[in-house]
Amino acid sequence: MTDIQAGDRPAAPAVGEGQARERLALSKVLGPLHIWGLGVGIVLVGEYMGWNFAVAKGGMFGALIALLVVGILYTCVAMIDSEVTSTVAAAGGQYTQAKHMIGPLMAFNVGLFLVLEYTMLEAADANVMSYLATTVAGHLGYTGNVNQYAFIVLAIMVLAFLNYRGVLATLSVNFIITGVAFVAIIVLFFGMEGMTPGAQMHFNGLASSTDNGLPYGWLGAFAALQFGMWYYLGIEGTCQAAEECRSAARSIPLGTMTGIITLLIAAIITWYVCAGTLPWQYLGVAITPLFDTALVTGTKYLAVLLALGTILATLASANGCINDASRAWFSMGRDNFLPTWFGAIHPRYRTPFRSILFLIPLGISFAVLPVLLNKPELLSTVITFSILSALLMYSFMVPNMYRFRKLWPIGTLHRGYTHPFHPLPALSLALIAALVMFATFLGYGTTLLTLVAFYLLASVWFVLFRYKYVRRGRQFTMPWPRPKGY
Amino acid sequence: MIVDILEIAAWVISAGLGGWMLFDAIGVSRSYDEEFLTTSVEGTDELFDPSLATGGGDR
Repeated sequence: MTDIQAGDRPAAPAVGEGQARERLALSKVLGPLHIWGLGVGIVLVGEYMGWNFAVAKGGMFGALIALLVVGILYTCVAMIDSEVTSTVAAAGGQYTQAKHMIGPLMAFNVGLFLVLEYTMLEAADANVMSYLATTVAGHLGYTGNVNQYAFIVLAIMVLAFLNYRGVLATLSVNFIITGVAFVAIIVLFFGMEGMTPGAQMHFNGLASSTDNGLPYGWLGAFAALQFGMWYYLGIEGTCQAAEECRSAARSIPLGTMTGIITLLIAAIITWYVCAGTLPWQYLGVAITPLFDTALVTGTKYLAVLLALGTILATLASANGCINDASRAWFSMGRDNFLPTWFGAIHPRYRTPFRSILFLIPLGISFAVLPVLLNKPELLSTVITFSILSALLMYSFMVPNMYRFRKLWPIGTLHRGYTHPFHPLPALSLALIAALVMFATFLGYGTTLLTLVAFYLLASVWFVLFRYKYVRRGRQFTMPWPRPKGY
Repeated sequence: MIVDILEIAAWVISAGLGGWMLFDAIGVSRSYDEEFLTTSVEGTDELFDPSLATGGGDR
């Protein structure tokens, strides 16, 4: 067998003899910066919009509590993923972890969680991009109706095309535009004299009365947890790129851990500048809170920069989601959890081209749904599908971590990163994920039950009709030592 | 007026990109054996080199 790696463009072989002796592989071209760009890129849009709905539920302090509690959840997620994925140099991320650590049914479900999480997020991003296009047209004096379908479809097609043509360009673009969006938040902080509280921001009214900080008491703070997810949702997507890293053992932990640190900084700055500038009643329903904060400063360059940051963050998120959803779908196809047809790699671009193509109509469908039915509120349902799928996946990560340390104790398998204080991160993750799940159930109980019913039906389909095709031998090809006890 | 032109441009670009990807995917599928296109396996890392099996990041 010959592994064809990045840079070796194969002569297009004729169909027939000789081809089967070669083996296609995804390009191993990514480094820690790409991983950072992927993880932070998917998430940063949550700082630009979405997190502030936590303010509507729990007030300013409710949103701050959500920021900190959910920040702990995602720090645990980043630590666990960094350790496990530093040993699993395979696309699929948590799906592949589940396959190795738990079993096929769990792996199938985790794979579906991933695909739904990222496809729904991509759809929401595309929908928001069309909203931004409409807003820009309005600011330019256009008074007619903007056809949102055109811009939703354009956004998804351009990003899918980029993904189709190669991962290096895709994630290099993500790194650059995410970097600009992050720098915009830092510039806003210094532009508003953030080091001198009271110069441009005002916290007196906020701190003087609990009616301002916690208008609905601790119950409101609990309800705010659901929207605290927006600060960090998607950082675990770094794992999907493991197979395309030059060294997963180095790049995944570095990219993921610096990514969560970046997001914690961005989240705290975002809350700080918004809470010191906008009244909570407005902030709780604002569509673009960071841009609105920049507008309030009256400084033109800040307003332009934050408008640019909003658009770039949305693009980066959709781009990363297409990358991640396609890798999860591809991995399931490769192992015959889905038809093998999806497990194909493009011989020239080294991308899972069929999975990318297949998921385009799915993303477009969910993105246009709120416009088609003229129900903008459906956007929050689409996003809740994404959040709930992610929460279900985090629940899986707890037993996964225990199994990993049990089957391959420290010293028996070479890790690129070993997280400290095990099992504290896993236990913290279990507790906080359960709390957030319950908080989400209170607000979106029907959506949660619908989603659980869907996954149950999909599991029945897998067990009855698909499992017989799974290549039990071929799906474990990494040269790992035998697990303890086997 | 400008928005109308942008809308039309958006549809044309989307159709062009979608069509290109579709034709390319069909072309690849017809030019290569299905077995060849689906030969990839889970990746490996220099970390799994047996000569490097101790030390490193383990604590």
